Amino acid sequence: MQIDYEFIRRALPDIARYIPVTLKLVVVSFLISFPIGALFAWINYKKVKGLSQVVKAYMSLIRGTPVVLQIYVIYNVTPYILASIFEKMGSEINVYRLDTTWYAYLALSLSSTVTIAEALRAGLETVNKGQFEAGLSVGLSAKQALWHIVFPQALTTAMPVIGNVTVELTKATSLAFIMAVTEITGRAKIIGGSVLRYFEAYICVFILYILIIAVLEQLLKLLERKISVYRTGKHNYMSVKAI
Amino acid sequence: MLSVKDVYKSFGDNQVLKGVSFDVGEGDVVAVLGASGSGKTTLLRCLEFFEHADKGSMELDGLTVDLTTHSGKLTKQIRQKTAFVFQNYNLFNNKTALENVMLGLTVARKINKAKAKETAVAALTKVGLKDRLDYYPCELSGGQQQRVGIARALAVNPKIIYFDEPTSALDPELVGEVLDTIKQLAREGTTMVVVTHEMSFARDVATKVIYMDDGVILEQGKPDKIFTRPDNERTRKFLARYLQDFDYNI
Repeated sequence: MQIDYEFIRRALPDIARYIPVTLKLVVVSFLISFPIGALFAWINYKKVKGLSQVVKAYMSLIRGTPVVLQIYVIYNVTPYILASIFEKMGSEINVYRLDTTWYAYLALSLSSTVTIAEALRAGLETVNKGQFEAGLSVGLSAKQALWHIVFPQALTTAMPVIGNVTVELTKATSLAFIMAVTEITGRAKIIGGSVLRYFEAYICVFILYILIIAVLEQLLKLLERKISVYRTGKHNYMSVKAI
Repeated sequence: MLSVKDVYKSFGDNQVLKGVSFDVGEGDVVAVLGASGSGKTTLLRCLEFFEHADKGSMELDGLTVDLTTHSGKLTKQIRQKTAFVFQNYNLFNNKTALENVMLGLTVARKINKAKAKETAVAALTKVGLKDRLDYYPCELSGGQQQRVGIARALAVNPKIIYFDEPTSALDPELVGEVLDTIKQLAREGTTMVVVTHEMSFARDVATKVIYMDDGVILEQGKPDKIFTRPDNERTRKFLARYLQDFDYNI
């Protein structure tokens, strides 16, 4: 097989123009799944009656199904449901003209929400109850103690897993093409298909994913080091790992 | 200033407090003694609303509260007047020494940062940790951590400070520095309730000693009286055991 290097040279910048679409998918999906995941973590940690069961059912449903299937369901079923709801309400909104990117955000957040929820719940469980009580003892409200003391520590513990979630999410954006969102994989398929140079087009996205994720990993490493500085200490003096 | 009435508390079938009442006057240093499991710590935890008592009330600085209350507003009001020093320090792990002391001022009391920092630095200086302001708890020794804990309690200018066995988790050679700090506070007239196993501390520093046994206060009074002529046979036995230990420790 002959590799058309000239095609790669021309296709690479063309596909790279869609990197912002990929990044936007990652960022928005993450911004949806993180707060919801945090809320779910809290519900499960506190074992809130009723809600906790609902969250657990949701989590096993999502964990038990492949992402591709979730995407099909979201992309094909949700518009019908929305359309019939709007119709009943007598609304004029045409669901079928909604930007499909929104379905992509929704579909991609489903599974990251679950993983983030589990990671944060585990994180919350590692924070000693005394930390919370100490917060109360200096006059903080329960909410303030959570926000300033408990949650940051839980996040530090959960950070490696959350970093993984972000990387997984980045790779999962390649599925957005199923929902007619043109990001880098989608673009590669289009231009590869136009001249039947799929192999070269895939080499291009391969390179781009490697690069994006390499940068992402460095950023995550920096962030992780920054938020966990309290565990190692700044002074290298008598520093032992905080419990 | 603090008046505690008739506190009952049980965990399941285990009745830990069976009607405890006592008073603390302004400037008093009350040492609470007793064997493990006698309910000392539970008593303190009920007063700070870490546990909800089954029955009982307290009056602190003109504010009367039912100890069974779950009202967030009331408990916060009481906690604004008190401070708590924990057995295992419980410094906020993710905050430096300075931030540990400042948090109760800036967040809980909405004092501006500059003023809060001034107060916090003063408190840390008082406990001898002026040069450790930006150290995280994991970089401090047990004794230093507990002194930060004391500074954190002091900074919020409480009416009363509760100490829950403040030296029990410390290595023996670090106990002294923490006790010295508490002694200094006592000299300055800070009102304190100290649950402790340090008998010599209770004898020399306390203005009042409470001896608890099996969920009730068996005896309370001036340290001289309790340590030399206790009325109760069980108090005598308990103290004898500890004082005997001192003979060996010379």
